[in-house]
Amino acid sequence: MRLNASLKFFSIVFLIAAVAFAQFLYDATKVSVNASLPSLITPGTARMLDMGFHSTVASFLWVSTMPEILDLFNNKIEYVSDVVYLTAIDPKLSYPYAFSVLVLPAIPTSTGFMAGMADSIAIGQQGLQNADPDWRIPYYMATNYYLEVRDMKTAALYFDRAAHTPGIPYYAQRFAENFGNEQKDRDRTIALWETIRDTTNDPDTKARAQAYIDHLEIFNYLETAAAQYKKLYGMYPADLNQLVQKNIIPAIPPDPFGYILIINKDGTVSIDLSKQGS
Amino acid sequence: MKNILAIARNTFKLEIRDRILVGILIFALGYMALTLFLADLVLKELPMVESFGLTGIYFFNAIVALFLGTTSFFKDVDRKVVYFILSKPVSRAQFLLGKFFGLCLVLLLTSAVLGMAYVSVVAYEGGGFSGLGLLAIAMQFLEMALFLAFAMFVSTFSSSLLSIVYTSVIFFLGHIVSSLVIDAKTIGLGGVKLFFVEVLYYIFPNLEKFDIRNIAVHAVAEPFASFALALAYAAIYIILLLSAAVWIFEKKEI
Repeated sequence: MRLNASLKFFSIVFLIAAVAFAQFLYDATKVSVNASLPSLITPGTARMLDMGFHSTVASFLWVSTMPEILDLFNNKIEYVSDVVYLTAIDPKLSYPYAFSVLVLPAIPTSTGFMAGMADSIAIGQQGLQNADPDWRIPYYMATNYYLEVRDMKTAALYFDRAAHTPGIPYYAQRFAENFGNEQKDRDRTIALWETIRDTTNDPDTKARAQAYIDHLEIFNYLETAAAQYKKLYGMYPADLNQLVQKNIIPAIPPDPFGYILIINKDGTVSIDLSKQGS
Repeated sequence: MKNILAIARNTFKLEIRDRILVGILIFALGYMALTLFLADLVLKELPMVESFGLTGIYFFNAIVALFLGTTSFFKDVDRKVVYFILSKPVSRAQFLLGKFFGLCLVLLLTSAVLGMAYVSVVAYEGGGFSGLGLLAIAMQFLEMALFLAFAMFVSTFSSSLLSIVYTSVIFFLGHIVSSLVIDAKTIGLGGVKLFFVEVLYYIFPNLEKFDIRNIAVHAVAEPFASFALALAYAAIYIILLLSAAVWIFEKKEI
């Protein structure tokens, strides 16, 4: 049977439409199946069968796992076990850890706020131990400890860890290194770092704690000098160098983290945000 | 040597005109473009984008190697080209080696094209120039050359369909054999069973050593010696397979 060209064309268009309609009908009648990851295959077996494509398999699993975070609102807790599963296939893939640390505490579950926080901390600690160095993991953990758990000391330690992780953007590093730097928090933060310095046996942590103390004390030192300047001249100096020129201080002490400091109109000292420190 | 080069050149010219190969390459490039979409799905996380790209190059090159290795030789026999060539002062060894090098050139071309697409995708997603990624593609090429040599070897004594089956099995086995030995020891396997697994491990092509994709994606330091040893392993295995293929082909009545 020979068909003319236009009939052939319409036949093809009709068949394409029929295929699309069949797919539509199939989707409409399909029974929803729980899309959790295969539990029969252990991560070890998956690693053996993936022919070395650990990172790719984990990445594809992450694509399907990430939306499950929304199911947590409905108390379906597959997300956490699936993250554990895929990070066991490729423990170095850092983003699933960072994402989980950030998001899990923000989702209310029937098991309570602390359950999400506990999962977040556990996943974050796994990430710090196994993943590629990724500043986001300790940074998000620090914000959780600061904002949710109200544990300043642990927050400071994680901010410090984030600040010293390669690849951290300057703005995040600046924030991390100046955590607790505001005048109202400063003395408490100094006391916190003093506790860390005096209780740690790790020489690196001790040295870093001392650097934070020095960094924060420079602010106190300069603000005290600025107050003296105001007593003498009736106003705050427009420039920190005026403190040296008027012999109030011998020199502006160098900041251990290399930040450039400025004095504000109200006599407070802050970091010059327009210039990147060394 | 002149004969080998001439056959290699002709094989290369003939194969790159093959519509199936062009089709595979177009699909591969389509997949590389798709990684841009996948990159959005994973919020442009670079390790994930890189692993999608490297996996695509690997699988499409594996398909090309399987397709070329198991069909090219048969086509020449089927179309009687082999009679024409062997009636000239060309030995069977030269014919096989020429075919192998010609097919390697095709693989090199597909690796280069897909490698450029990969570098472009990674650079577009903000990753800059990926030197380790290129090294991973080079190691994948070595693996594919070995894979090709195996496919040509089995083609000399079995049918096209069986060659595909044998080569696919070796491909899979070559990747899991390292894990098999570790798992066998972990579960306490001993005696003859462990010996059998260890024989598989040492005799069959162990393709895991060419897999530096995870190293490239996670930027882990790897000693230079392991690359050199992988190169030597591939060279020795390819020489072994081609020697065996030549030996069988010389004994074969055509």
